[in-house]
Amino acid sequence: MFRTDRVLGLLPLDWRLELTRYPIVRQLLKSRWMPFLLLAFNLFMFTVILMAAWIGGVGAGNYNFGIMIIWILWWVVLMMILVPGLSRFWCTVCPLPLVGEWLQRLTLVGVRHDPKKGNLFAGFKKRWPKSLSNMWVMNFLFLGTTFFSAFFTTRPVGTFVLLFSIIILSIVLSVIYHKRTFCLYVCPISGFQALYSNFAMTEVRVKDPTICRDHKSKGCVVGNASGYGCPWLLLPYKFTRNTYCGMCFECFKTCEYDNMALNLRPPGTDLLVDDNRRLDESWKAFIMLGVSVFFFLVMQGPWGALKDWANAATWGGYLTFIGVHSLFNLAVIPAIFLGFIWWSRRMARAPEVPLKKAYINFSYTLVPLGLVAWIAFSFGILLPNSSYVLHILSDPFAWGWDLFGTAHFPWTPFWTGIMPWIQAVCLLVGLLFSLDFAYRLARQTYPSEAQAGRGLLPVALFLTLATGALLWLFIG
Amino acid sequence: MKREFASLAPYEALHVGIFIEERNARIYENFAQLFEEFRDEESGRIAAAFREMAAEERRHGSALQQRYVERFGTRLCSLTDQDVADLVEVPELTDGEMLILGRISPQQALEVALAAERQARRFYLRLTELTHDPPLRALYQEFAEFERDHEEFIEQKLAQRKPAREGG
Repeated sequence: MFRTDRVLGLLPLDWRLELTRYPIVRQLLKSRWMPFLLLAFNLFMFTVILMAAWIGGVGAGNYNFGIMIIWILWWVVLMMILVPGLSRFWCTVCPLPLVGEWLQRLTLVGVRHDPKKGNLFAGFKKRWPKSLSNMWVMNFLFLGTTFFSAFFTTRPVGTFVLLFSIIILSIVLSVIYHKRTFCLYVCPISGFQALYSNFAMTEVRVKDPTICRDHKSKGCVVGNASGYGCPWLLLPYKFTRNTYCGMCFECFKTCEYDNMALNLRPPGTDLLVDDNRRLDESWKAFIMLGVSVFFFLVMQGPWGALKDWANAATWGGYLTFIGVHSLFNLAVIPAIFLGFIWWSRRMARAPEVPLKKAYINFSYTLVPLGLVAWIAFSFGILLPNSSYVLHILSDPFAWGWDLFGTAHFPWTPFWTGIMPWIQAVCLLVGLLFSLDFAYRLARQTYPSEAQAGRGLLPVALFLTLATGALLWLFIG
Repeated sequence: MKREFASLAPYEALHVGIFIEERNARIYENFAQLFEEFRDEESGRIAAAFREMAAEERRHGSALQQRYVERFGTRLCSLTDQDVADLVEVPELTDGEMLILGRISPQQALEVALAAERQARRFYLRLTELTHDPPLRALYQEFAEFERDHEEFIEQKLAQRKPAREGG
């Protein structure tokens, strides 16, 4: 018998394993050296990446440290391990906003705190405009960066320009705006992590809400001498989904009652949180699904003409690429999805349910599907190309070094013969998760079980067709 | 072991009432501090609304303290809001993503306070209905009226804001 209170009928939705019940984990997260030491290491890595992308390597990207580390190692680890497993842990260790945050706090590890004024910050501390307090800027910026994907992934200087622009932008915005405004509303990497972290198997949450209700000083929000009030502007004692939690762990440091927990949980539980679902997040789901298709076509697909367009072989071709790419992501996918949701509402015979509500709710079914599409795409990068990493680790600047004796390691693709099977399994598992959550979302959307059952059918058809299209693309 | 509010003797209930007002003043001050960190006009107005509520809670606390002295003189009581299981009049910002999504205005700040005062009045009225002890009943009634005054104070503030907003 299929248990509806369990993810895929297996793991109870409310199952949690509190990792912070182990003293070593709690001590680690409460220490002010965490995440600073990880950030310091990553800052060093990114300095080498920027240097290599600027001065090292050859014109063709395959042997450049910057390109290899960012687009093979980092991207693959991010999409295959960090986001599905550890939620927004990349944000914990991301060095890109480090300088901006240092300029705000004027300290890297300690806490500047005045008992009367609270945490002390430098800068103009403006509040981000309300009209932009959503994912739209990130949506357009992410889509915008994908216009240049062919440059970033093949020309070292392209990677340099992208990373350096992000660093400069984060510094400027950190001086003008308060706390992690850049990460919350602007960073193109942040947006998809925000959405996909709802599927992650890790969460930061309050252990006992009654302790927080009784607590007067709310250090997790306003800060105290032990740490900063939530840099991500969450109310840590109240948030219910991973979307905007950058896992900085400041709330572990500020909580006087050790009432914050880092939990393992079943994947996807936040997709069922019926708070603050919005169209900007729906569009993030559409864009991510669409971009995974376009990235595959451009980077791994068989159509040379499309590669020429994306590589700007001609201006006409490049503008066509941008136009088709934008139209597909911003209009075609959302419009097709709208058709299926309209049909779902008709099938459910639930005219009282607003179309917008059904549209937004069901768009979260694309989170598992989109994430596995990216994982499948990442296998297409990892398996053929990962041997390059050994080469560039030994000779990061292409200056003829051989630091680890692997500089002459030959290009060795592995498991490429079974790669289509791996990708197919990924996509099918993703479809299962999407269908599972589609049913639950149908129950949230439509008043009765019978209506939910009928309304589910068109959504399930869309998800199956989308998976079929991805299967055809990846292994067809 | 925490006690139910309904189990408190009159002097204990009044004593806890003083601490509830003081606790709320601190909560409002924290809310104010949170918004003061942002240096924009609207956040400043939200912070001012919360500061005003904190001052109002302190005034209420002082008034209750005066009553305590009038009725019970220097009788010692060690009970505070921390010793009571019921959550009475706790102002809460309930949407964890409210600050991120820009979903709070000076108006909503006052509504947070109004919700807390209403919840408190309902709580005391319910106790009034449940208790058969005349002095306690009178005290709960007094508390409820007190909260009604707070409600009116906030409703007045909200009404003052409404024409200002409607006028553009």
